[in-house]
Parts: sequence; C-alpha cells; structure tokens
Amino acid sequence: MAVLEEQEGIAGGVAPIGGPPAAVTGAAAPVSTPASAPTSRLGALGSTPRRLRVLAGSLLGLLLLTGVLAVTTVAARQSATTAARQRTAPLVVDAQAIDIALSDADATSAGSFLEGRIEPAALRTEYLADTARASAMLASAEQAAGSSSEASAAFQTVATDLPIYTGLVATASAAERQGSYPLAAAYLAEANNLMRSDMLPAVTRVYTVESSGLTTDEGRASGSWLAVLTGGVLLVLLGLLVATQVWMGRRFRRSLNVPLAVATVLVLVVGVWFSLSLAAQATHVDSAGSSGSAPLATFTQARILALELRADDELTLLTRDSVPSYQQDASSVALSLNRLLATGNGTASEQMLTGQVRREAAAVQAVHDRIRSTDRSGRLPSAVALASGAGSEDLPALSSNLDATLATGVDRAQQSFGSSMAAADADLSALGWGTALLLSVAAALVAFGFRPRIAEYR
Amino acid sequence: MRPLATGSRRPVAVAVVMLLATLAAACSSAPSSAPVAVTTPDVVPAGAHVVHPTPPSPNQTCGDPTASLAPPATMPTPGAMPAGSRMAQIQARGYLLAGVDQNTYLWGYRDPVTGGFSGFDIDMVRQVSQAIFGSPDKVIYVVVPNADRVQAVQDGEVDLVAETMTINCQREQSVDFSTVYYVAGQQILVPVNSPIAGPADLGGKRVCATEGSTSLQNLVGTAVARGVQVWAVPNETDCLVMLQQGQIDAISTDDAILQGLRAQDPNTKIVGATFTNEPYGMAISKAHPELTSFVNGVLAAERSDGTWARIYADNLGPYVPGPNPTPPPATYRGSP
Repeated sequence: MAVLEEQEGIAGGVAPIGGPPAAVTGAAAPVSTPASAPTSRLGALGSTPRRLRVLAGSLLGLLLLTGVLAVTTVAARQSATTAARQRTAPLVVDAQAIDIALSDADATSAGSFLEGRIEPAALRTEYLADTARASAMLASAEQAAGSSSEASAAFQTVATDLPIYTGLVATASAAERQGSYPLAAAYLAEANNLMRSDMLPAVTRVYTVESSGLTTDEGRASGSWLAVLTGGVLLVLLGLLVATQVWMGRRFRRSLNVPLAVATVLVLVVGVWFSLSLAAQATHVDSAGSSGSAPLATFTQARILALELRADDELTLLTRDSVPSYQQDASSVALSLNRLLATGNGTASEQMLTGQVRREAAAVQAVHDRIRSTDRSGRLPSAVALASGAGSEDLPALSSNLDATLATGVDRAQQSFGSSMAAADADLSALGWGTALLLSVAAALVAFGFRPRIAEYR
Repeated sequence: MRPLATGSRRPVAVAVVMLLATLAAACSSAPSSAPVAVTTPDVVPAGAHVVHPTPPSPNQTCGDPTASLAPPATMPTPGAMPAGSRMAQIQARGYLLAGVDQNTYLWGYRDPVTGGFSGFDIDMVRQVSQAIFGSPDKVIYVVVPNADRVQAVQDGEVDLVAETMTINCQREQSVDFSTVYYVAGQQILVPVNSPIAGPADLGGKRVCATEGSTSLQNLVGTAVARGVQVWAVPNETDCLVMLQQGQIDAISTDDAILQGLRAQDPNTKIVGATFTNEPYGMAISKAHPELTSFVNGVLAAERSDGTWARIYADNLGPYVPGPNPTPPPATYRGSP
C-alpha cells in the first residue's frame, strides 16, 4: 500500500506505448522494505525486479494452469460425449434391438403354433426376420462391446444359445407337422424357457450395465467441477493481470501496457467462449438424456414387456398344463407396463405418443382379460381365436399396433439422442485447440509485456 | 543475475508444448478385446431337475379304493335329470365342466387338426355329457394341471376330472372316484437301440418321470437301492424331449402315457412288464354322491353296450400292440 500511495501522484502520467522506460528513477527508487508495507500483496514481494519476476512467473504459471485445465475439461467432456455417442449408446440400442428381436421371435413362434398344424407364412417370415436380425445385430454388438467384458460375455451367451433356440423351435415345428402336438408344445416350452431364463436376461444385463454407463457418460459429459475449477483459476488470472497492470501503470507511470492489455482481453475472450460453449454443450447433453436416452429406455422396456405379455398369453393356451406360471408372469408384466407408462413425461409430441401408447396398451390388456376369462370358463377355441385371430380386435392386431407405436417412440428417442449428442459434440469442436491457441498467444504477450520492464533492471 | 528476459520466454514455449500435448492426449484411446471362454449350454426343459432318493413312504390303506358307489337302479333319460340332483343343476347350466389334460397324447390333448380336445379321457367325458344332455358336445373343458386335480374338484371349479388319474387311498380321502375305466401300470420307455430290457436294468441309469406322479414316487423309492438318477419334469412330454436330447436313458410312467409318447416317436419302445397297478377313475366331489353314482351308471352302460371297446379302438387301438382288452370290471361299495 505504501508503495502504491507513494506513486499516486504520477499514476496518471502518459507514456509512449512500448517506449523505453520514462524514468530510471522508478527503477532506482528505493523500494519499501517488507517491514514497512506488511499489508501490500505486491509490496510484500520485496524489490521491484523481484516483484516483476514473481509477477511474470505467476501470470505465466496461471496461464499454463488455465490452459491445461481448460483443455482437460474440454477433452474430458469430449471423450465422455464420444464414449456415449460411439460406444455406450450404440451398445444400449443394440441390446434393446436384440432384446426386441428375440422377444418378438418368441412371441411369433408361440403364436404360429397356436394357429395349428400349418404354420402361417406371414408368421414364419416374421420369425425368420427376427432371428436373422438378432443374429446380425449380435455380430456387430459383440464388436461394439469391445473391452466391456461383461457385455461381450452376455452377447456370447446369446450367440451360443440362439442356434440352440432356433433348433428347438424347428424341432417343435417338425413335431407339429407330424401331429405330435404335445411333443411340439414341449419343445416350444423348452425353447421359450431357454429364451426367458438365459438369453433375454443376458441381453437385459448388457442393457442395464450400459444404460448406467450411459448415465455416467452423460454425467461426465456435462460434469462441472473441472469447469468450475478452470473458471476459478481463470478469474484469479484475470484479477492478477488487472492488478499487475494497475501496479505497473503506477510504478512505471505508464497508463497502458499494450501486450498485457491485449493478453487480458484474450483471457477474457477465452473465459466467455469457454463458459458459453460448455453451458450450451451441457444443455445439449441434458436434452440428449431427457428427450433421448430416458424415453428410449421407457419405450423399449414397454415394448419388451408388451411382447412378453403376448407370448405369455399364447404360451398359456399352448402349454399351460406343464407351466402354469405364464399367467403369474403376465400379471407382473402388465403391472410393470402400467407403472412404466404412468411415468411417461417429456415433450408435447412425446406425451401425445405416450397417450396413444396408453390407449393401445389398455386395448391389449382388455383383450388379454377377455382371453383369460374365455379360457377360464372353458371356451378354449374362442380363447385361441382371440389370441391368434386375424381380426382387428384380436390379440395379434392390437399387440402389433402397440408395438408399432412403441417402435416409433424408440426411433424418435434414438434420433433425438443422436442429434443432441452431435450438437453437444459440435459445441466443443473448436474450443479445445482454440483455448490453447489464445492462451498461448496471451502467454507470449505477457512475456513480451514484461520484457522491457525487466530489462530496465539489468 | 541471469537475464530474466530470456528466461521469461521459456515458460511460453513450455506452455504451448504442454497445451498441445494435452490436446493430443485427449484424442487417442484404443479399445482392446479380451478373449471370451465359451461353454456349451446344456438345455433342459423348464423345471427339469434331479430328485434325490428318499425312502418310500408307507402306503395308506383304506380297503379297496376302487370300490365306488353303485349306479342308480334306473338311469334317468338324457335331458330329464331328477330334480334337485347335481345332474339337474348341470343340465340347467347348459354345459358340463370337465377338468382334463391338453398335453397327454391319446388321452387328453388338443387335436391340431380340429383344434378341439381328443383322447380316451375326453371320450369318457363326452359319454357323461351324452347321458345328461343327449349330446356329447355340451362340455366345457378346463385344463387342470396334474397337481391341482384334487383341488379343482373340491373347489367345484369342475364337475369332474378325467385326467389319467390313479385311484388311491390318499386321494380317496379328498374326492370320490368313479368305477375304474382303465387299468394302467408303470412301465419303461427307451430308445429302440437301448440295452435296457426292464426295471432290473435301470441301475446307474438316468430315468425321467413327471413331477408329483405316483410313477416318480415309485422310482424314487427304488432309486436308493439301484442307484438310479431320477429326473423330475413338469409334464411327461418333457421326458420325451429329454430322451430325444440324450439327457436321460429311460422314461418310466404309466403304460397308458408311454403309449402316447411312443406314438409321437417311433424310435422308442416300451420294455418290461408293468410293475405297478394304476386304476384310472374320474374324480368327483364328495358333496355330490348322486353324480358319482350317475357316472358309474354311464360307465356300466359303456362296458356292456360296446362303447368302451369302441373308444379303446379309436384312441389306443392303433398304438397298443396285441388284441384289444375287455373293459375293467366295476366294483361297488353301496348306493348313495
């Protein structure tokens, strides 16, 4: 304080920019001793040359720290965004698609057995398409799983089970064609058991693990502590830059040290750019979660549950005698489905879709109840007709309506996730190297700004 | 003192290098794949499991459990059931509720051609419908799991159960049985190329039976001595699936059921003599003795007028070798 006050009278003096030191007196002037100015931060640093060196070092150190922190922040967010976009999200989507293909194959095969000895061509085609899709997706998903040993082990399980499953269904089909109806039903029940006790749980495991991985990625992609730390260091840097210029202005009677002033502006630009970009990116990541991965999970789970409900009804009619638990499963599935649909929220178009899903799910559950009551009162042929008929009020039509709507929801959510994450990625595209470049220039300017002052003391 | 001006440039260079290095580091990460061990899955039917041998429980005794109520002196005409009787209530309802199986080939199963129910048990039920309504088709079939048969009759969920159900003392305590309409016995089904020729060859082999069946109890009782590995499955057809998949060596249950399994797989054979006696009867609630008596009247008529022989010829004739048997005789213990 003592030094600054002592210089107050000449602080307003104007000096040519970048010119030689105006007065040697400044340099030669006796500086206050640490004892005489215990409260001055700059003064506490001792002699002017020492102060200059410490200031220059501090500023360059802070610039380096800011740069490293900023680049690390951007890199961390980018790697999280990239991980979410390129690995985790595709794995989740693949797992869901495999789950749906397998569930649909299971429901379709049960349905075609319900139809009787001659397998309907349309159901046969659908079953083949489902297994082909599951098989193809498994191959790509196993590759995408890469280092995730849990995911690849689970996909491996499904991959080894799938040929066994299709073999059992084919055996059931052959038995059915020869009129060995109970044997056909037994093979189908075995296939279904393999699907439900081993294959679908494996896919669900991937889905659960990678979904939480996605949430983690999304959290990391919009993680704030590193950004806040960077911002804090940046503020300290700005403060020190301003304080340095004020002190130098007074000490050397220069109103403006242009290199330092430009460096200050650059740091300010970096600060504004950095915070605006990160805020925009975080918003995009948030919307990727709220209108992307969250509804994606809801719609997919609902889709899987709806398919399971349909298969439960078909298998009850086919093999209830041996496995009476299908209806227990059906009621818990229906419960989960309703709970899931009750939590639906989000954008207006999504709500509209959810409303449609609720209506169609209610229709499916109504026909499910009708099938149950018809079957319980012993009118099996009528129950079978409801469960396998081609009418618009029968289970297959209502179930596929619901499935199509849920599939639309899945597609939309997937697109929304993709575009939001792409936007989040774009928000950071130039920020990393841009920040590094600007701060490097600022560092050079600081060095350049200090050089003449320090030179005066040689 | 070392000139500061040159020293101050170094941090700039260091800063730039470090910033670039950080940027570069942020851009590279290579995934690596770990080899995954493959295990061959052993797929068995749902609920299949090995049963550990337990000593046989002592059989309950109750005299002759197959002795049933005598038929009424004169059978009522179809469509004119005596007032106040259970049959009259059924007639008023318009249909008979029958508990059956839908997966036991030749006995109670859904015919893939007609979509309806077929089998020996089903024909027994149709005769009862014929006697009440004058039409064999006034039946609503309720598929009842084997383990729930007694309960379904006790709860009145069905009027009767016709489901390859062995009459025994334990069940007799809870429900009434009609007279015997078929006598089965436990036998063994093996692949045609199997060396197993009878119960004596089962030592050290894997044998399958239906969960909760008397066949399973018989096997488990003898398993201690013979070292038989006994598999229990929810449905007898699951045994055939396991046999075809090479997971068991033999199936042991009622010959009646084995004939249905063999009919579905010509590469199997039934070996050895029957080693148990399993008289089948229809289970009816103890609350309606007049219905049991009425059903016994229906069965008596079937025995004498050749209906039983026709039903046997229709359902079992093509699949059971040897001449068609005569119907099992009825034994009665009194009138309601």
